[in-house]
Amino acid sequence: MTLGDRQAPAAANPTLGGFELSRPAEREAVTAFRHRAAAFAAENGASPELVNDVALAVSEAATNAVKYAYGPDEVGSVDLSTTVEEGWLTLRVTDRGAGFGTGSSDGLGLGLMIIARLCDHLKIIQEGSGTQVLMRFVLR
Amino acid sequence: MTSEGPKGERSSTERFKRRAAAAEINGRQVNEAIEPRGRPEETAVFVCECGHLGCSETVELAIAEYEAVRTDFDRFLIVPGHEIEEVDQVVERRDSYFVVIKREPEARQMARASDERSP
Repeated sequence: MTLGDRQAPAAANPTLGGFELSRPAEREAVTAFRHRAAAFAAENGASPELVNDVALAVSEAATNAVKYAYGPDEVGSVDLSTTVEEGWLTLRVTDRGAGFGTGSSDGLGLGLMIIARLCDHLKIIQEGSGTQVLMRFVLR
Repeated sequence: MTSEGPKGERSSTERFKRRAAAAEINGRQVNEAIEPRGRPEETAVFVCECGHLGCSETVELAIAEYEAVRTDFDRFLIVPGHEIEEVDQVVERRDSYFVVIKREPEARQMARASDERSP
């Protein structure tokens, strides 16, 4: 059991080769997601360096969702889902907020830049309501 | 190319080139995500789209200038001096930024595959 599970037991569903996790968009989500992402990478054979990269990238994506996705009076959620397939680890951090480029974004680019440097493939999807940050890592 | 699995032998040079190309493409993803919905003459801060994994530099440009860089899937915005000889060819030199294109067909294909603006 991870720290994230102990803090908030809701909505942790296994998926084929991965899991899905949903949390309120609060700082605790960042910690929970980081721990679960690191465990997921390690369980699937990632090197210690890659485990750190995955944990940091997910932490940055979750931080962006917590800080920028919702207004101060909004109660939103942030989700983490993962899959592993053919030597790739895929992790998605999703919110249902306003999207980037619509409000204050101090620090947003830096967090995304860190993610961009860490993962092998990055896709940022902003369609409808919310943002999905899709990060893929070659298992090594 | 990004859907291609990592299986198969690659030389360290090939891996380096591919990793650098991927970093540049990821940087462009960031810029397109944070690009403000402002008027073209307004300025915004864009991240350097170079392939150096430790780079965190930014460039302030008019939105129209960035859009001029992004007229083709193969063109990337970098801070001057951040070009990687094995990966990039500089095609425009401005005071605050360079525009580079990919040298290798594989990197070009990666850039095309990732570019949702391409037809």
